[in-house]
Amino acid sequence: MSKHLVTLNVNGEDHVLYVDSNERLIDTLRHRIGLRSVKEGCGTGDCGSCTVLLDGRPVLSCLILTVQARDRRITTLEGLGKGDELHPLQEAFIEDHAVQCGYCTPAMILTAKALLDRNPEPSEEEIKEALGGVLCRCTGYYSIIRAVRSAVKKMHGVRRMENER
Amino acid sequence: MLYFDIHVPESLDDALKVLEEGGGEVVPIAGGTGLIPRLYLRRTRPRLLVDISGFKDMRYVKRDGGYIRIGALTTISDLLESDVIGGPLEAFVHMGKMFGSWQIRNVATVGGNVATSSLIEDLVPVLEVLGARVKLIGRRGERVVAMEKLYDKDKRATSIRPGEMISEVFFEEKKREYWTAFDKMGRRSYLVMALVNVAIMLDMDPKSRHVYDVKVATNAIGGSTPGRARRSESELRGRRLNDGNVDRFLRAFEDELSPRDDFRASAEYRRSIAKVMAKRLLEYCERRISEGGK
Amino acid sequence: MSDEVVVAKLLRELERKAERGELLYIGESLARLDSLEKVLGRPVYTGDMLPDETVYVKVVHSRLPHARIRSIDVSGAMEYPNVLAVLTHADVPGENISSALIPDRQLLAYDEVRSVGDIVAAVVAEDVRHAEDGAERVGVEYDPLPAVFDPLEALKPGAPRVHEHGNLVKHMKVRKGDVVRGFEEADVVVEGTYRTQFQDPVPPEPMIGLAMPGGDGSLTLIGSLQSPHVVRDCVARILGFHRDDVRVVQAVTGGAFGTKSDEMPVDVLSLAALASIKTGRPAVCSWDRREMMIMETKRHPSVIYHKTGIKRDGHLTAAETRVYMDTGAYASLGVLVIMRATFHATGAYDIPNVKTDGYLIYTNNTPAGSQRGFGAPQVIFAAEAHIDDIARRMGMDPIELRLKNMLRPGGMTSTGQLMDESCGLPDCVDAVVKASRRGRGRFDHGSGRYRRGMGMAILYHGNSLGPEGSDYAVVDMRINRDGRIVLGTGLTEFGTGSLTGVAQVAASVLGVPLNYFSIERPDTGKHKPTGPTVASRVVTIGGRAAYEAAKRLRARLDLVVADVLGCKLEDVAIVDGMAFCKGGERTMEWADLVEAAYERGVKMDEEGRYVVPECKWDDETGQGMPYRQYTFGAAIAEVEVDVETGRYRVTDFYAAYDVGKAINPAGVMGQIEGGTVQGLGYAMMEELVHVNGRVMNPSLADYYIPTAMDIPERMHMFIVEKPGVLGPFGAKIIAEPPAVLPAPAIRNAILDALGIGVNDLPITPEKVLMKLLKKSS
Repeated sequence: MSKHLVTLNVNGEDHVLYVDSNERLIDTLRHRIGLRSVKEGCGTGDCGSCTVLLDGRPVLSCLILTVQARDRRITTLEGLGKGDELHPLQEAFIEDHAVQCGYCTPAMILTAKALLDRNPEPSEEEIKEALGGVLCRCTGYYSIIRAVRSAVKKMHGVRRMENER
Repeated sequence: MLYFDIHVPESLDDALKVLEEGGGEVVPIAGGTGLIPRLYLRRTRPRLLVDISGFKDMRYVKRDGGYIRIGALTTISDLLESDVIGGPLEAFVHMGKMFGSWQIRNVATVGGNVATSSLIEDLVPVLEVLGARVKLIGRRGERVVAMEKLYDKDKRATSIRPGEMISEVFFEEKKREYWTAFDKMGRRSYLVMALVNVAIMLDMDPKSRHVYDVKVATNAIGGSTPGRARRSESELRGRRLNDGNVDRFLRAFEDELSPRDDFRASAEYRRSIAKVMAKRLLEYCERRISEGGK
Repeated sequence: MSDEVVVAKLLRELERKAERGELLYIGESLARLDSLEKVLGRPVYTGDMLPDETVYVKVVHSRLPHARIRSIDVSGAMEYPNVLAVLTHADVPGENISSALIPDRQLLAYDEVRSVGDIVAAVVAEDVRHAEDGAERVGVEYDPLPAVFDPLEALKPGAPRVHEHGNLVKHMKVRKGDVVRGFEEADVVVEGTYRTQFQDPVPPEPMIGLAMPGGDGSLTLIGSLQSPHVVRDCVARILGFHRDDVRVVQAVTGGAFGTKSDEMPVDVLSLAALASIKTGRPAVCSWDRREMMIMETKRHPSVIYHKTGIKRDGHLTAAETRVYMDTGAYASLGVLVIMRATFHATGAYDIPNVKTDGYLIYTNNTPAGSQRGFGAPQVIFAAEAHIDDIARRMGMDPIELRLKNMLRPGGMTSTGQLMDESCGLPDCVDAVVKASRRGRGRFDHGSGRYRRGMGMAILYHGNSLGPEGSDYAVVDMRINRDGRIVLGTGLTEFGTGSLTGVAQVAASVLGVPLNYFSIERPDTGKHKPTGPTVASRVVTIGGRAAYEAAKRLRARLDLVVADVLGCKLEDVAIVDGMAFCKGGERTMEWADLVEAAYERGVKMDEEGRYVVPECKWDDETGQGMPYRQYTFGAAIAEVEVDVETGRYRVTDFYAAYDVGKAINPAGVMGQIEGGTVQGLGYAMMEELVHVNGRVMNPSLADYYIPTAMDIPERMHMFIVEKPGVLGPFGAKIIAEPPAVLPAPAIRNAILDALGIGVNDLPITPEKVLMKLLKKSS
């Protein structure tokens, strides 16, 4: 099996790696780069737990060969906050009790982030649709939807303050 | 996951060369959303994959000389975000929103969907009612195949020869008023395998209600039915759209289907809902045309 | 403001809070202790801690539902590169048994396979892919045996025997009053048959277990599991080890829902342990989603018959019920599931004459076991569907029929247990009825393509283990010199937030903020046996143990405060980590208090222990007190049905639960919301299809659980608090009941909308449409 030299920009940092042809992006991120927030729930693209952002768009890292992600920009949950500061979505997930077993949490937060980056004021239906690709068995989704809405409010507050400055 | 090599081609010509030399053991990979689960479950065992995902110039949706052309590497998200897809081509929007999840749509490509196909793909019936054709390229040149000629009755794209790959899907843009619509029924509302897919294209004079053309296609329904329902279409084509003719069309449609019976749904149920879906989609297209597309 | 004014203000504020006493933080929706780690993606699940030198184990499971094993040929696998070993029954040094209660299941099959999930061999390799390749190369020859897949067929004479001792595993009985007389007194008798399906628990994190050699012949096992002590004892038996030589640690666990209390953690950890012993290296055994859906224990399918006598005025006079549950090839915890099912089979009603028979039956399907609700979802679906069928027959309003017959204070359960003031069922019913569209005006059923309906369901749910095991909990609490409070217990957290609830009880008693607490990983090497983490019992039983420990620590700290601040003991208060004397002028910070206590040599650790008073019932009649307290609940579903396709959506779901005392209301609501959606999946879409013992849809692409797009549009929740006798501050259990009510409530709503009752779950659009078409023709 041939090896390939690839460069991945992960959470703002370039990683140059030799990878196997059949190496999946999820395995590279977890085992080679040590980003353990990326979770495998099915391996067949049906649960959404392994969601990462590829050039800002949510994708399933269990369905992407690392070779195919060469030269792309990848964001995982580890790359979300700034230093010690939580992202408003992370704060809202804590405050709204949107976390239970935690296994889908990274995928939920990343997907919500991609949504808010595109659509800063999504409707309830748009939130549900965006999150529809990540399965959660614990929360029934309500608290997660509430958290996304709270994050919208928080982010608007921040924007308003920035505008007023 | 199995062992395979992946080849990152330097050029399209390089990709085609490797594909041709490899015969059936070499498979192109674009988004991989269909192929990778099958590799993971060891249901397919290719020797070599050719990564065609880097050919950015095969990713487009454009109007061109009376045709709408969709590059093979266009993702489903690209389709939904395209200015070209809208208005009478609304079936793409209906289909796109029900296609997998956002994560899948960001990666899955039009070419991949058409080429791997299967009895459950959502995109294929939409292309079928638009009379789409598929441009296949290989080292020995290119050729064009109509969508319906691409598949065998199990919806396998058997007309694609070893060494060939899809470069584009295109269809003629109609000049008269027309509309398209699509619906899918599964066991849940989202991220679901279809039990039945139906797409319809209606080309009708809004005043006289004369049907210049109508096309209806199904997928997922199984049996020997996926694809166009031509007999049913002829009940409506060239006639006026009125209750009697619609009834005849729907009865013929129901008759023309021979759905599969499996643990997911009975043939009887698939037939019943396919008919209701066809009826509603026809009504929807009719309404949109009558409203002048507003 | 001067310092004195600030202190005085603070003291007034603290004194106001101190009036709440031990209830200081009870009823506050405090953030979970583990949520910060989890939003950062930092919790360490088992798969996140595999050492580099780890070897991988993949299993070979049976291809046939029932067969004699003629031979197992491991040579092809052994010759394969990077394969280190192949394990078969011959490699098991101890007892080759992996089963919870009845020794009917081998870890590695040696003579016979009884379901397609049976494990025949396991391949150990350098990495997971080679282990998979090796597993493909193990050759097993079988002689097929006759098999049986239907529980009722399995009971017939001459049916193929799944085990030599016959197919009936357990027969449970409830006998109350005289049903013959009860039916004579009835004006009308109504009968019905109801069926439920295999539901897969789908815990988000698939099963995984890691074994690490200790270097001294001992082993440390780390896994995704519910009950570490139970796993330790079972694995030690399989390995032939003394149980002290096996240490089991629960890693952060991504959902469990019951199945991780059954054999699955024992299977993976035993195989990992065997591989580790054989190779001298760490070993991991994991199952992917497909393997999970074939091999993990699921919710029992059931067939339930009801026959009920009723007076013209709507009073129920007699109920005769038979519950048949398919446990698949092995009993697992089914023998306890059938007990709970039999006790609860006639629902939350006061019926004078009851005769219930519950049967647990072997078939050659994959095994069933524990899953959220533990027998209740099946029987309450049937009982509540039946109540609506009775109402329809009698021309009565189904809510009125319930109000006439349901349990209330002074009423009596089917097991002859008298209900006291802790029965909050009437309040639950009242809450959902008032909130629903009907309570707010007239219910519009609609016309044409879309029809609307509303349906109700109620339940009672015996708390904690009751007859299902020895019910106790041990919680260790230690105040470190730096002020941090460390809580350790063998009870586990796998998503519900229960250990946050336990800490919250202790925080409230001690008077310190919740974030002063840290919770140790459950570890058999550190923590005493504490009974299994099942039956939603952590906050109720574990919380009570924590309460006991915290009380004793607090009493000692109060003495220190009185001494340092110089006031009477009864005036001492500790609030928000600040100690003071009521009416006094000085405060003392927690850190100083702890330091003062250490200086005085005060004992700063405690073991809290709580043992549930024994439950008694008669084996022959089921009469007595199988459970010490009950959770009650009522729900209304409002649905809109498309009559041309049978498709429907739940527009509104109203749910009220009597939880005794909500320790953390947001946590309670999280359980209600999550349970409701899991129950909605059971009602509408989930079905693990078996055909001739084979699982047809072992994939999340083909077995559907609800997505965010499938949930009821509006969820209305109500918490009722009628304190019980077991939990801290009267708390009752809540994790399981919410998964029970959606199926009957939705079924009854569709009955209300269309006049058709779908009696077999799940209620797919297909079943609705086919029944509608049949009705109209």
